[in-house]
Amino acid sequence: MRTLLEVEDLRVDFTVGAHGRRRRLRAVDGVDLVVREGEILGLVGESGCGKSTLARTLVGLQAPSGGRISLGGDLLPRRRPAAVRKRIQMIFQDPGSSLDPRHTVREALLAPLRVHRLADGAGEEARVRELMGLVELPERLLDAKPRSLSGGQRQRVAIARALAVEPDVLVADEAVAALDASATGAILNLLADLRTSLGLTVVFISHDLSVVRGLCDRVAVMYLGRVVELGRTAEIFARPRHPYLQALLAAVPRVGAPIAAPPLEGDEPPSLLDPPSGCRFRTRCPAAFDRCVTEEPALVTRGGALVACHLADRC
Amino acid sequence: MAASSLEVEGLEVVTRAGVPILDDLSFRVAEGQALGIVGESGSGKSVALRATMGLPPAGTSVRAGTVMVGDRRVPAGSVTPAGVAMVFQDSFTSLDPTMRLGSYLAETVARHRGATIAAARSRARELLRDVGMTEPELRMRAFPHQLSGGLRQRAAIALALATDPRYLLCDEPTTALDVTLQARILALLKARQGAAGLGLVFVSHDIAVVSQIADVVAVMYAGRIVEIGPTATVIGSPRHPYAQALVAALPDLDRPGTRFLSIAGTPPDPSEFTAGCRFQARCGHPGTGCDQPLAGLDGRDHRHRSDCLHEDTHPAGRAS
Repeated sequence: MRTLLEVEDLRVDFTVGAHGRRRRLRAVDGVDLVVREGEILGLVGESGCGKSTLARTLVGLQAPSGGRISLGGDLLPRRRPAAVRKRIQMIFQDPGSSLDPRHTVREALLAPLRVHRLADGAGEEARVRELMGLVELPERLLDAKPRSLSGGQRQRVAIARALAVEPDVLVADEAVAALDASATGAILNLLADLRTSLGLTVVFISHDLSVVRGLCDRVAVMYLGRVVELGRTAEIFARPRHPYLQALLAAVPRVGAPIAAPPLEGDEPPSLLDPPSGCRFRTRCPAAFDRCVTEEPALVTRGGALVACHLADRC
Repeated sequence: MAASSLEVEGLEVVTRAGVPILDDLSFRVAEGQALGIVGESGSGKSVALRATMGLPPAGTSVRAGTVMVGDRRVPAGSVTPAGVAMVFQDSFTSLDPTMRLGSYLAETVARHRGATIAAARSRARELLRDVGMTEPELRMRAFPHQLSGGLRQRAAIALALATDPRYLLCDEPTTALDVTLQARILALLKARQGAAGLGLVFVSHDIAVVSQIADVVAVMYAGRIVEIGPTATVIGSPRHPYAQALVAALPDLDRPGTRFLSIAGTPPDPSEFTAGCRFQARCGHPGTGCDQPLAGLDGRDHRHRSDCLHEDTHPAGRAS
């Protein structure tokens, strides 16, 4: 498959603290990532690992501090003109707050068409109805406001609004985390269907590994701003090489299995303000040894996957 | 003699407009036992816990019901029953933003036990260590906003345990957390249940989580218990079409399918609650008589049963 989106050595910094105590926090630290055309790429990791910051930077909501993002071979400028912005769209965790409560579904869908001058007059209404069909919502809901819709229906509206501008890439940040079990499956199926019918490329951010396992072709695992393992979902979930992915997978609740507290040291991931030397995971890693303190492991290819661990060959 | 238990009987909660959210809900949990309650948002599972604690959600009130802790009986909704504590989904709101964690915990301990501040602080340190904090001294000096979500949730559990409760009501205590933390908190609660004989009521929309912690599971839909029974039986062979669909919709890490299953439609709003089966509009195989009034199941009886009239006619495990 052709490379569609390419991220090279991406860094995103924030300044925290006030007055004399300003400090730099690097939320994304040297991420390299390739998203192939028509694939669903998963992005997983604990809160604070930088997955949402990476997502916002891909979409252009957050300016990178360094590194490059290219789309279809074109380098994306720091300030993106409208024609570039529309090619990467985003949906959020809580469609209750990402949709304007005063706007009807029709108005929500018309806004991007008008901003990007994509349709006019009769064409507008036809396109709005087409979008409703695409996300399998009945046209009678066009005059409804978000309040009267269920969580699943709102997320469909958010997806339709993102698709209105015919993007190449859809970035979904925890798109099903706020939904009930009964609505989650339908939204995931919709994303999979849109990939097939529109050839849509999806970057799917989630902390739910069971969902990622079922939906994503490939998955990147992030820890404290870096990618620590990347590969085909079926492969790396079956044979995780990085101790962090092993711990994550072990902690997933399974029906009928006893509770498995992960074998991680300490009670917290370390602060991004003061990341550990060498391997960032070493302070929680059950297998850490001297070399992990001094030397940062590079992402290396092992059995078709990429992994950043000094013990990659032994895991 | 059977273990002492927490019994909630005939709980009725209504909105300001008089619309019932819960009508005649009863459940029981014994000391050292864990009761799981699963259901979608709006099923009334959180309302049931809050009403039990005498803290019905804003805009609602408890119209009837009693809470019995051991042999002490109190009317539901007006007072917090002694010996019962609760952990909420959003731990930020259960901690005082203006107080350091250590002072807040110590104050709770001092009030509850009549201990000196020094003794209370040492107990607070112990509580934080119990919930898996490796540096309790450091955490005691922190304000709630300085703690991560995971540490805050553990602090909230420590706070709930500070009153030495015999029963702990947990409302989605791990939903906002990462899997690694979730597993730790579940292990912590399970250990308390086993060693200290704590009775747990654990509300969650995540069946996998409930399956790991609960001895008995109640499935709630639209304000009623529609199925109840020992955890392995309910999850292994659910009888109610709703419970069957919920179990089937669970994504499985070890056996991923090509399609995710879901339940079409949405749960009814309390204003649309009917006397008959409330799931029939979404049910894949409604039959005759689904409009007959149903009472909902009594959650004090933990034997496996569902309130579907046609539970024998649809194959187990089939989802709509």
